[in-house]
Amino acid sequence: MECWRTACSEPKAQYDEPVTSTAGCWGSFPPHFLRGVHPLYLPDFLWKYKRPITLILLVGMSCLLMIDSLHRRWVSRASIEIASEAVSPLQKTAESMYAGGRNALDIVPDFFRTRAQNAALRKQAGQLQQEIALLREELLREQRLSALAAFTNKIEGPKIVARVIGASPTPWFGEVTIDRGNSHGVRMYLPALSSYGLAGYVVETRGHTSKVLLLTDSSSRVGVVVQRSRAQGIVQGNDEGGCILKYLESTADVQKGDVLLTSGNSRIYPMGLLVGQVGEVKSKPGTLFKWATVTPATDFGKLEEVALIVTAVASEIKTESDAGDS
Amino acid sequence: MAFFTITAFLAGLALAVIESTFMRAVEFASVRPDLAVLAVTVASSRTHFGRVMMLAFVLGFSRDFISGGAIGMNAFSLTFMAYFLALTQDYLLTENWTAQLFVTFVSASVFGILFCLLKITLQYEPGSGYHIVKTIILTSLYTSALGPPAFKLIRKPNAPLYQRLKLKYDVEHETIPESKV
Repeated sequence: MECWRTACSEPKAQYDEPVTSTAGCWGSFPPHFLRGVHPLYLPDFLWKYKRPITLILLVGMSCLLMIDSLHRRWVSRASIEIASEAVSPLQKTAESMYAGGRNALDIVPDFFRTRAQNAALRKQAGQLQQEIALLREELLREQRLSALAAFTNKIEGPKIVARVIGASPTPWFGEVTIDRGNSHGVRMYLPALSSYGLAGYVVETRGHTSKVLLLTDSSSRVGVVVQRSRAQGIVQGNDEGGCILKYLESTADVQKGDVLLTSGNSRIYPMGLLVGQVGEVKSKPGTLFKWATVTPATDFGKLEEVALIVTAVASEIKTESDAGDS
Repeated sequence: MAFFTITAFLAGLALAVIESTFMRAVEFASVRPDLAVLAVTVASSRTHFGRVMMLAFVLGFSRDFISGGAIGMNAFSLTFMAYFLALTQDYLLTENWTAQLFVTFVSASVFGILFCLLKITLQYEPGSGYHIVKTIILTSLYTSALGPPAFKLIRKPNAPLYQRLKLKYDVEHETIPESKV
């Protein structure tokens, strides 16, 4: 029996051949799934123009779909329903898988990026801490200077504010070095005040630095008066960070906690500078004087700035001393 | 054919979902390879005209569910592109990588041009001309770069091309190729 196609002289039997191999459609033609299947009967002109006709049919269907979609008729509504009900969960799952995979892949670069960021942030934090420390230091310094200025403003005469730049390298001398010297107008015997009270006096001057003998040095002696009872005595350093109030009359009214001020009898210190507080009062029977421990008003362990009071007395001492030397 | 159509429809949905999610990982300059174009191009070299046309239509239709615009735009463009491919397959055998690259690039370009024309026709905002040209060219280049690997991956090893088999069959049975009738 001949094939129904006019242009084809193949016997029809070839379409009726049984499928003997399932090797797939790639090794033979026609493919196994087409064997035994008789093609549809089509008129010749349809067969001849089957490609354009297929195109027109499919494209026409596409156009109908587009028209429907643009007018939002049933196909578009149904497709939206299908998309939201069926495709969206699939898309959501795929999206979460994609996000999970991406996160997993990002772990390694993230680790290195985080490590680099961590190092940079640590460096920045260190710099900021340093900056904060400097600013805090500046603030504290300003506060101290303000307190010192507030304290010394009550005292007449010009003042020279100096910064303590060093202490005595040996424990045998209670001295500190300040950053002001002859060139700044510092002279010998100028009393030095901290923001809490008397600190000492200048014992040595150089061009740009000076040395201040502190109250705690045993060679320092200050004539004082007890503020409450007006009893007088001498405060001398004990080389141990404190002072001793000496030469108190045995009948003097001195108690623990009494405030000691400079008496003004000294040629170095003007009257009324705060020296410290009386600690324990001691006496020995049969002696003319009693004595007491003194807690200096100034904390010498934290002394950082001093104000030097330029007094006329100090200038006189200097002049006399120069005259004696000559 | 019904089974094939349903399978192709589901595969098209999966492809569209993959394109909308996983393909972002390989995005380059806001351009991704067009998997549907790639699938139709590869399929055109291994199966006959009717199936390629149906595959293109169904893949486009399933993609229309997810992509924006009117339903049928992708189906229209892909079907036209498949027809164009079917015309060229009679003259060009995609047996070496150069031909595969070329065919994929041309088909992706045709699809892009058709889609843009359709977009303009349906009065969607087309964007600037520069952007359109850039997108078409970059997408085509990107898709064509995946062409040879896709041909190699999908075709069975050492299997001759469908066109080659068809040609052999026609010669052996002394029939006139249907496209030449």
